[in-house]
Amino acid sequence: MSTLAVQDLSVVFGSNKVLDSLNVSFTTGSLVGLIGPNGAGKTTLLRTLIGAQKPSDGKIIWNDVDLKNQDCRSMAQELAYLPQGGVCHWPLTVERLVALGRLPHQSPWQKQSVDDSEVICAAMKEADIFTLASRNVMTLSGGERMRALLARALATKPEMLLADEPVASLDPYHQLQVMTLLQAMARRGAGVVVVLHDLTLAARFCDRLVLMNEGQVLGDGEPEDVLSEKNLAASYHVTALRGKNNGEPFIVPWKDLRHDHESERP
Amino acid sequence: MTPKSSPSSSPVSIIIDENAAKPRIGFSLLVGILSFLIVLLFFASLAAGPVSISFFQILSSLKGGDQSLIHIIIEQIRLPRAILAITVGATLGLAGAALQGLLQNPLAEPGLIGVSGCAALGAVIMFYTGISAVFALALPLGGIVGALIAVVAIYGLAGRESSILTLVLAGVAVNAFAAALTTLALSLSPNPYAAFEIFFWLLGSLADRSLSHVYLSLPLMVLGWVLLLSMGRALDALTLGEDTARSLGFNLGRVQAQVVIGTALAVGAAVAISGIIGFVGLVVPHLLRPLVGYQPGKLLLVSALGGAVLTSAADIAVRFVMNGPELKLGVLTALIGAPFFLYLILQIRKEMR
Repeated sequence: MSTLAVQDLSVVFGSNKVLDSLNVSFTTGSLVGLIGPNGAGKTTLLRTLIGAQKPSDGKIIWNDVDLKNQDCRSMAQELAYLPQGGVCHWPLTVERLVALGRLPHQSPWQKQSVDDSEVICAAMKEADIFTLASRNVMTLSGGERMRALLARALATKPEMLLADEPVASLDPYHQLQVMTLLQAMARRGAGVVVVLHDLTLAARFCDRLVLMNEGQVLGDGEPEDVLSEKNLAASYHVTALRGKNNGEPFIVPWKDLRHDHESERP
Repeated sequence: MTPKSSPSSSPVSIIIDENAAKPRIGFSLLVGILSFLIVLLFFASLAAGPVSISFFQILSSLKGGDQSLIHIIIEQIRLPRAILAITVGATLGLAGAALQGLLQNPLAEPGLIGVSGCAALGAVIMFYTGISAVFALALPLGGIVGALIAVVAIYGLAGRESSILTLVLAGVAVNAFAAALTTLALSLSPNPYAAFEIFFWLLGSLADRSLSHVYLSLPLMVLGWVLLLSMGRALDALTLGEDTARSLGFNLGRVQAQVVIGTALAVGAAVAISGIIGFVGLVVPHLLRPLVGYQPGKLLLVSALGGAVLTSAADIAVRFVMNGPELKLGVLTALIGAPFFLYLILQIRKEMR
């Protein structure tokens, strides 16, 4: 089992402390939902974990070795990152885009091997974009493009995947499909850390939730415990409707607490 | 599943042929065709000119060392010119493709963003201070230092965001600064005739160069080519943005440094010999990009070859366009390239709507 641990991590932009002495760790074999309001520092945490953002203070440790002392390339084989929004600057075909996920496994002048091609096909099938393989990425819808980029991350076959809002632009069917896929990845032994805003998806699919607020961890543990009335009020300033369907929880944000306060005042 | 023409998340849009992302031609075939064209144009360049020389005369002249008039024309006038058209053209095509890949911006071109202008300034300074008369290598080195300053400035101004507007504005600023300093150097010149000559040199030409110019510039250009051509994978990864490229195992600092230094070496050495030949690095990658499925890595080699083809062809054409004094090569490429640039801007504006 591999562990990605963060110790006393701080990131400061100007006078704004985006991450404030954060301590958290992620292990392989479980699907962890990273939740929290906008500006809580979720994206900054993921970017710091892959080395795109320098921490102002603190350490990131992958399997007992400081990230600073890790080799770029071997790290890239083990840790994949799927950024928010889905950028693709040139109109590649979906297949070529997904093939970029194999780069960490190829030496500079090596051609795509048969194994690579098989992994790429499998990744496209998993993300349900196999039928779009020869399409121009720029002509896809937002959700289709996101799934193509997810397939790219799957093609890396990482030990741990850090995905920033992968379901944000997807239709309900594909939201469920991608969450099931991420869950299956975790069951097979990979680690998955996924930023989510949909509390029902978080409660239903994740093995563990980490609730961030103002650069700190407000709650960490079983979804039911983390999504307590108190935690939701303290972080999102909302109350929620809860229920169970066939034993599985659903949770729907319902009332805006801040707005209520203001309207109560004369 | 209705296709959207342009995603709002990407600030750079490229003219997209809806279903053209898949290349219609094999990569090896494309490289073969372009290489064949280069060989063809090389011999055409040796044959074309005021004195027409046949293919067999060229071959016998290249083989043997007889001191006939034809041999002298070939060796001292046409051969350096034919070689430089290939090396300078390859440099401009390659540098354009590499800069576009690094900046994720289809309008990055050594001439447009001021790299060529600053390289020319560096060479002019070396020429005026007389350093190049004492130490011949100072000319390309001056060009390289000038180019390096320009690429670093452009990257600092426009590298972080792939906005076309920022890049073009930064290019305007760098170009204006280089032009001002070059004009200053010209107006301070004690010898008006020399100033006149430099003015014409700045327009860009491959005429009247000697083999020593080839020896002077070629090693530096080759070094730049090697640095740029080995960046294919990194530029492919940059398609997905800087963060993802980093997560794919590329050390971005090193990638940036290598492209910047490679561009400076190749373009600096080329411009110091040829003057400013604009738009090659814009037109060539743009025309070839669909043929390699828009992959920035594969575009590098074919752009180098395509640049050599276009520059060789243009350098042959300038010999016939006008009677009397030859049209400057840089003027011809600008005459073709500037309207092409306008066309690209119009296309991009349409895309953004």
